[in-house]
Amino acid sequence: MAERRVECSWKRHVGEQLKQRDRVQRQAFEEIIHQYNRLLEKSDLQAVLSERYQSDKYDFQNRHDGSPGADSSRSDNLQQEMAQMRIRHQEELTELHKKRGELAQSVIELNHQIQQKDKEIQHNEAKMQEYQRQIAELEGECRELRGQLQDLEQANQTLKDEYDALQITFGALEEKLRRTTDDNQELVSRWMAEKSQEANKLNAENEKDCKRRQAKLQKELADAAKEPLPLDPDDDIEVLAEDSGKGTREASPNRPLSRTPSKRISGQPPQSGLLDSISNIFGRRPGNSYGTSPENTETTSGVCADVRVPSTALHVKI
Amino acid sequence: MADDKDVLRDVWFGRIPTCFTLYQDEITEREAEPFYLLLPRVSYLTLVTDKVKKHFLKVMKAEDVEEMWFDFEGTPLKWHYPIGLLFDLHASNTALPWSITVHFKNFPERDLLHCPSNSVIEAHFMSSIKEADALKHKSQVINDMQKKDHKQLWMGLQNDKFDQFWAMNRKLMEYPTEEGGFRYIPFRIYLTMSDRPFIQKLFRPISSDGYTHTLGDLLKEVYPMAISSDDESKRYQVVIHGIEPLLETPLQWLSEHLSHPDNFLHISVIPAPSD
Repeated sequence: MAERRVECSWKRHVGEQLKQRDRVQRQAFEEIIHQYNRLLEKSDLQAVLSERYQSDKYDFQNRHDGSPGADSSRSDNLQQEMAQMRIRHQEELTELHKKRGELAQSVIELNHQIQQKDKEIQHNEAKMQEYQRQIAELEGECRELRGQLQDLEQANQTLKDEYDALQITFGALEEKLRRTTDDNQELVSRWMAEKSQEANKLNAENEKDCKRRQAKLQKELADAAKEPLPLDPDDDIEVLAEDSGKGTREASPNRPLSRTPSKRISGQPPQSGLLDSISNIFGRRPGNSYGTSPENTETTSGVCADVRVPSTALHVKI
Repeated sequence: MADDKDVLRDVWFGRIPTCFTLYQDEITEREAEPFYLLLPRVSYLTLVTDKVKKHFLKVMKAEDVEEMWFDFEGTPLKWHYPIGLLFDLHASNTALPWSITVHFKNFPERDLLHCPSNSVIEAHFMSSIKEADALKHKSQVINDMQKKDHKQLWMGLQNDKFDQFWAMNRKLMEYPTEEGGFRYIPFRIYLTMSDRPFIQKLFRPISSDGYTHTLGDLLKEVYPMAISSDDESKRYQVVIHGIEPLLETPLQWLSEHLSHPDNFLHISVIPAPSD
């Protein structure tokens, strides 16, 4: 409660002070100043009018200076002229009032037009702002797109460079491959050549070996054939008969042992015994041959085995 | 409250009776009578003195007329100060009407700003409003207003339209309820005997602990000399709009109701009359 009283006190104080101030400063002078200004206007108007009256009066006086007449008539004329002037000035005054009314009217109309123009201007400005906003948006989009385009171009360029680099690497690798393949082929052919050479050499050597053996054998055979052999005709026939009867079954070792020492050396037809031994050398089985010697079984083991010409002549199967 | 609205109207419609006399050294064709006018306290000299100029130009030759300017007892009157402030500061305790001398020559370049057209006054007025709102609302309210709203404030002042002006100005007098008042109070304290033009400082209407600051608090903080102690006689008068508010008047209320149209509290500290 006390607070409100306090609040009221300073607020009331301000209100009262303002009213007091207005009484002293405004109300005391308002009417006087207003009337003073009206008088001032009137006196200005009177001054203007009196100036005009004066000039008009002098005009009239000058024009009527030459005419004779009594003072009274002159003053009558003067009064008439002044009345006329007054009428004319009244007319002017009404004219001016009318004009003032018209001007006031046109002022109102112009104000109204100005208001309308202001509205239009506002509307246009709003549109402009909208357009500017759109432009800013589009510019932003444009910038974004340009940025994206730049990025894509850079990426493309990077890819192209990588591709070129890869292309070069690929060419180099191809070249390397080609060279390596060539080298490989060359090496393979050389190796093949060498191997075939070796094979040829071996074959040649084998052939030589065979030929040597053959030659040796031939020589030995030839030598063996040249040896004179004591021949016994009885032994010959015996041997031959037994051979035809039991030749194939009986074990060869027994037979040759019983006969060979005496008969063989005596002489057999050299050709038959040689043939048998020759054929035994060259691979006949012991079963097939008649009268094989122990030496024969030994000699069938291999082609390259040590070849021995039998020291004794053997039975020859026909 | 009805009281508050009355206060706003009384502040807006305050008038000062003024007598304009032509400076004696001006060249005239015939004698110039003085011109009397009731000047609006809240307006600016160059905005309301067209009739004065017209009156005196009637008796002068065109070639003798340059920019019009005014002085009071030898002091050139700054047109960019509100008229009420000029009167309170210079002529508070002199006889009414306020006698102003009219000049048309020898413009005092060092003391006065030129005023070539009304748009200069408008620019000055709007800039004061923006400065005040920067202090009150960090410029949020004034920046939210459209250009036509700003125009309405100026037109209201120019054409003396109270309702038109306050339709917009009330927005500048609002504040968020939780704050209790403006951020800072826009005020200026003018001293008669001082080399600096005015005192302006940051001052909050509500203290951090919720205490409402008064006019007395402001003066104690910013110009303690204005408040005389109880025992000695009053040395200074603290005048706003031609009245002396009580020192316990809340500053926030003063800012809302006794500001000028430019939203500033213009406070004059003048020597108390020694009669």
